[in-house]
Amino acid sequence: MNPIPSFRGFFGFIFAIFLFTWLGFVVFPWLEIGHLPPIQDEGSTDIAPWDSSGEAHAGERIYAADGCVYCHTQQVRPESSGADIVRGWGTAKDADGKEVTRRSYPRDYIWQGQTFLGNTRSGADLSNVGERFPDAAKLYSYLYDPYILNGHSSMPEFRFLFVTQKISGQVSQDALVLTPADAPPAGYEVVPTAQARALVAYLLSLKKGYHLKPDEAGIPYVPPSTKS
Amino acid sequence: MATLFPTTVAPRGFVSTDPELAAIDASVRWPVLVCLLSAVHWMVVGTFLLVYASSLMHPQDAFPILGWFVDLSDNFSMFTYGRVYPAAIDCLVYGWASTAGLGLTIWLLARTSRNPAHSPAALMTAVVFWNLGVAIGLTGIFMGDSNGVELLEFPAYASWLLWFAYAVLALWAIATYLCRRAGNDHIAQAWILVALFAFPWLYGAGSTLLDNRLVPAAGGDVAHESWVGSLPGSGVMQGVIDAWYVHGIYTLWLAPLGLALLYYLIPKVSGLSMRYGSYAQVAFWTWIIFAPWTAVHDLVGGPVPAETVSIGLFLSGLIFIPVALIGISLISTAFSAEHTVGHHGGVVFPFLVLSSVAFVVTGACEQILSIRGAADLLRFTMFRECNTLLWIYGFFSFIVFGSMYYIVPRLLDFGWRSAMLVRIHYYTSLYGILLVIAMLGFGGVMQGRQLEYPDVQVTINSVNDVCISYYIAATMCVSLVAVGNGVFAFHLGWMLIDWLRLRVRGNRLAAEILMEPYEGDIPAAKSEEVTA
Amino acid sequence: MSQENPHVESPHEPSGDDAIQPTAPDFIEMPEVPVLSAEKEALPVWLYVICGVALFLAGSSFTGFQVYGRGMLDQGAGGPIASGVAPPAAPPTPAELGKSLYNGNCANCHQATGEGQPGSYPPLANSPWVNGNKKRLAAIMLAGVAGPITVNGSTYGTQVMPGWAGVFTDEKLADITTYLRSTWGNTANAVTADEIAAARSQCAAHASSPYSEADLLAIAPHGPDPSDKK
Repeated sequence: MNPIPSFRGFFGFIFAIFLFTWLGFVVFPWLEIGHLPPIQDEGSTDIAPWDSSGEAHAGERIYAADGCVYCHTQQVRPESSGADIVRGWGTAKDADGKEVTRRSYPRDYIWQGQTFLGNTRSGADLSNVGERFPDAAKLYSYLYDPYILNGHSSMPEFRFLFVTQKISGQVSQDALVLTPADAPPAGYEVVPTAQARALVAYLLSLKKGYHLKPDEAGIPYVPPSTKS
Repeated sequence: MATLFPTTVAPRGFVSTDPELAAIDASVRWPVLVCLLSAVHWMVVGTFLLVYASSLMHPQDAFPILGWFVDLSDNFSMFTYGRVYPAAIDCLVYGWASTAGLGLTIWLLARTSRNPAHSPAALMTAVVFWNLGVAIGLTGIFMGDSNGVELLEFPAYASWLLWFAYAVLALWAIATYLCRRAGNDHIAQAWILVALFAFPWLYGAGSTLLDNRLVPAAGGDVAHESWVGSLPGSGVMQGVIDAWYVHGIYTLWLAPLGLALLYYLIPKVSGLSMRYGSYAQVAFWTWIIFAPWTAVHDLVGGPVPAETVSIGLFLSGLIFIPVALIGISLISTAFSAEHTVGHHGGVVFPFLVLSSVAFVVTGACEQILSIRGAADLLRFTMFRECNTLLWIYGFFSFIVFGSMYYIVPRLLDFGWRSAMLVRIHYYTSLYGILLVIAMLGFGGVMQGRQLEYPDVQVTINSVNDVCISYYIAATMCVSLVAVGNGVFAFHLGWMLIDWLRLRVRGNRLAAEILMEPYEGDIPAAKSEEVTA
Repeated sequence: MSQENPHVESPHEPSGDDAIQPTAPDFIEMPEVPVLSAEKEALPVWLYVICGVALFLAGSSFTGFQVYGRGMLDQGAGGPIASGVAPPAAPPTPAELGKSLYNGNCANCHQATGEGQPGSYPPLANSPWVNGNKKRLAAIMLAGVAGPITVNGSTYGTQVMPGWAGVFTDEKLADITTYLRSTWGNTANAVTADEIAAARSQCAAHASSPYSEADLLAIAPHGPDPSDKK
């Protein structure tokens, strides 16, 4: 029995099957969610989703290079799918300070240069980490030694993102405040490098508090929270 | 009964009973040898990196020596988990699995086409470039140029080297196949051709669409209405394409190469034809149609269209058809070969059996993940890691080991040194993999149940507390596998050194080979037709 | 067909059927055989059973098969959605929170309809105690009531109402009282947590002893309260 009666026929079949998978898995979703424009927020001039600064985009490169995506996801699944919403990972505040709690939509990612949906959760989902950690100093401490803020953390330390330098004159503005166990010797301070700054700028930009209107892509309107 | 081995002063190796196959083996000797040796080198590096990465996932109090590694990873960017882990997986996939796969492809295509290689120099160049690509790629990851995309972390300056090497190898392979001697058709060739056609599509799309060098400084461009202000794959599509790529590599690159080797070696070593052979073609085509859709397991519940996921889960749920047909063919043939190859099957056959069983287990794993509820539960857990290691270690490594135990003596005309070392390798690998799969699989279920518990009191910390013991167990089991792999590498090195001594000194005493001249009967062919 | 084990063993190496030892196929080329067996073997029944189970499981993805219109996002195992995705529920208003607290704690006695029980539990609907002075109402909530109390002409008081100062926070008490003052025909304004907190400190002396009707009227008599902002 000849498994390949005709090379051309064989190649043709293989090509057709690969094309079927490519079309169904990549091309059709691309047509549906690959060209979403931003939306104007109802009643305001806000554009949803929120764009972020250049430094935040530079931080994406650090996020990629240091492999944060191998422990953290950035996709909030709906309540029917998992406990992401229950954990509070889908909650952010809109421009008026009201809470918005929802799953991730494709439109959330259109401004991001590189997206990091992620496939493993050794750590929390980071879609709205900018909401939970709005303070850069806290994020710097967390990166320097996660154990300070979270005694159960299995996150590695990222000390190489910081520099221990001699204090010249005054203490630097963004010098880290550390516990005695981590503090540098007297006369020295720990300051973040440009990489750390970019990474933290990126993390701070991760919040999804804008409202998305219903449109042809079927995203439902999320009314502002009525909590006073 | 012919004596195979001349009892003269000449060093005793084994002379192949088939001079034509021996000539073909000789023609591809150097490219294949270099491929296999460099693959073993990457295997050692990759396994070490995997043990390192695994040890970073849990506290190291029980193993103070690991604390030193943790200090390295805290203070030096090169050794942070986020660089070591992708380097480990890429080293194992591109350095170990792909390099060995390419070498074995060369050998297998040459043999099944009965077509000796006419330009081994071109092949050698390609092999060297492939290894360069892997080395530079790994260096790039450690130096901070990782793309941050699963299995596509190699920066562009490395992936182009892989491309070039692959193009040369693939062109040679297809030419060899097309110029095969009439009447030499083997199902292994079909599987290899699938792999050779799939890789350029996968790697081409993946490395060009997901290279993060193409990210512009700012995202989006309101004025020009070009929301694709990012990689050519924009937004969520990056995740979709990466999922397609990762599972495509496992099901359309590694799986066909492994199955080709199994379909070739099991009949060759056992002298039996594959049972249930009439289903082989059905299994072949259904695998190609259904298996790549396992990519959808990484999209369930995500921000992707519902119909893609639904259709995808159904199609990947049909993976049991090819797995059952291939599995029953491989395993029933393997187990019925006991009377030809002996109770334990010699040196080669046990690994072929292990690989066949691992293939079915991997297929079952993918089938489980095709159930929506299971996918929801296990999506972000260590169960996914279990799946990855099943593909790389459980299935593919074993078939490569078996093939190497078969091929290397024929290429070197020299025997393995010690049955004890093979035994150690076999049993440590077997138990190591078994335990790793069990620990990560069960741990994944426990982690998933904790992660998805709908109580706001449960935090990621409590989830990690559940996981720690499984991570520790996984580190220990991967270390066991590493020991086995190290034994194999040592054995290979020992064999090479003795072979070199023989070649250099021609010293007969150095040629105390494992295998004495075979004075028994050669088993007769099982059926009348003697065709490949 | 005889099978020998032609290998060199050192005296220390164990031998026997359990050891992995090279055999003939490891180092000779076995005769070529057809790769795929020519005989058509029927697949065993248990394989069909397993495949049937697997097919059933594969089809289970259709229970969550979501293809309702373009643009639907995957829901995981959540099951089919009728049309569109339900927007996430808005957080409950204070009145809604108060209602659930009331139903869970107060309705046993005062009834979910606010009618109470003749003789035992005074009604809350259209009650001057509920609609009147907020501090007085807060005092009732915090320390409870003992002894007879007249509501709309009827007397109640065979039971003691316990105080809730130690059970609920100021926010929760505010929610409950807001609910009382806006349900069953009551149209009084809301109570804030600050007002409850102020009342709590003023009622500290009464922490463990319920008020009597006279005490409550001493805090504020019935009738419109000039200090009460509408």
